Amino acid sequence: MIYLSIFAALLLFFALVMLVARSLYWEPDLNIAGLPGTNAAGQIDEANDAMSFEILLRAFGDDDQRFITALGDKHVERLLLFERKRIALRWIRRKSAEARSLMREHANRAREASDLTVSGEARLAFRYMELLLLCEVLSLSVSLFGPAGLQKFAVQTNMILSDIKRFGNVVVPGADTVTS
Amino acid sequence: MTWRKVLPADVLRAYEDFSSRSLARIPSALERLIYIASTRDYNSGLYHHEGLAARFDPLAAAKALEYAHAGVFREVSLMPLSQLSDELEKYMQSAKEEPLAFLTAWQELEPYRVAIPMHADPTVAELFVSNIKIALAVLRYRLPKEPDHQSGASLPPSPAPRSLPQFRS
Repeated sequence: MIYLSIFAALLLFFALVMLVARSLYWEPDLNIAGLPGTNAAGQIDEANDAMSFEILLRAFGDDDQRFITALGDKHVERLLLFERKRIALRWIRRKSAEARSLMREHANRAREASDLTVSGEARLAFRYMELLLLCEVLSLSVSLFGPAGLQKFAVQTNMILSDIKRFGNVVVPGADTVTS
Repeated sequence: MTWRKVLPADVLRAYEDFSSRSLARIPSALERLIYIASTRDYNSGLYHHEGLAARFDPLAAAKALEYAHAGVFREVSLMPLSQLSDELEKYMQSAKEEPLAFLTAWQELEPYRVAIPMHADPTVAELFVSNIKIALAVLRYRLPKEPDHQSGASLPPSPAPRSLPQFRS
């Protein structure tokens, strides 16, 4: 029994180390420098969010899966699974990186803010942890089974991130959301 | 597209002119994408379209082309695979190349990568490349079966280099 406890503790410790190590990794992903009117931040955010959601629908949706399955070729099916896994994992990393960037930005602004509320900060921290956990679970599931059928979780991840963006602004008024 | 709201007025006018005169004549989004990408200089990354630059300020015309490129690229990248496969098949037929030679060249040389806008979102760019690869595999599977179809190793000789279909505004 004691060995099992030690094993579980080691597993949890390893998971924690992995989480911390990943949070130190920063991947700038969105590149909007070349598009016109980059000073219109609100509209750019809106456009990026819409595009991110469309990527989600394509990568985690099962329309393409059904089309390829109906084709009946194992080679194409394997190719689809491989490619969709790659895109889905990239999308998850991006969401996770966006969340970390938002929290860093929030922490910087919170240091100078005078009217912070404990409940607000706690709620934000909870949402952030929830998002990171969901990203890890989603990554593992995608790696093991592929992204098809996980659309609901991906949508939930996206929603939590939007919540963090919105809530970060409410908790520290004047904080701009990061367009990463 | 939301970007439209933030375009300067002259760029927007040039874009609308280009859309109605040139793009509207091209039936599929994939062909529109290839056409717009062909207006970009590979060395400088700058866009140029004779007709558009004659009617508008050349800088506004180039920006309009860049904007059009981004929009069509996004449309093609997020397209369902069934539709993309059909569009690619139509494009392959319009190229009048031997299907096997076309597919082999596209799979080996990946010429479709030049259709990616310079400032494209990296995830969308990856999705585009990924979808084209799968659509090519679908088309190869749909080809009438011959003994050496699966290998795809050799490139049959082409009688003469062919260029992209010409569309004029």
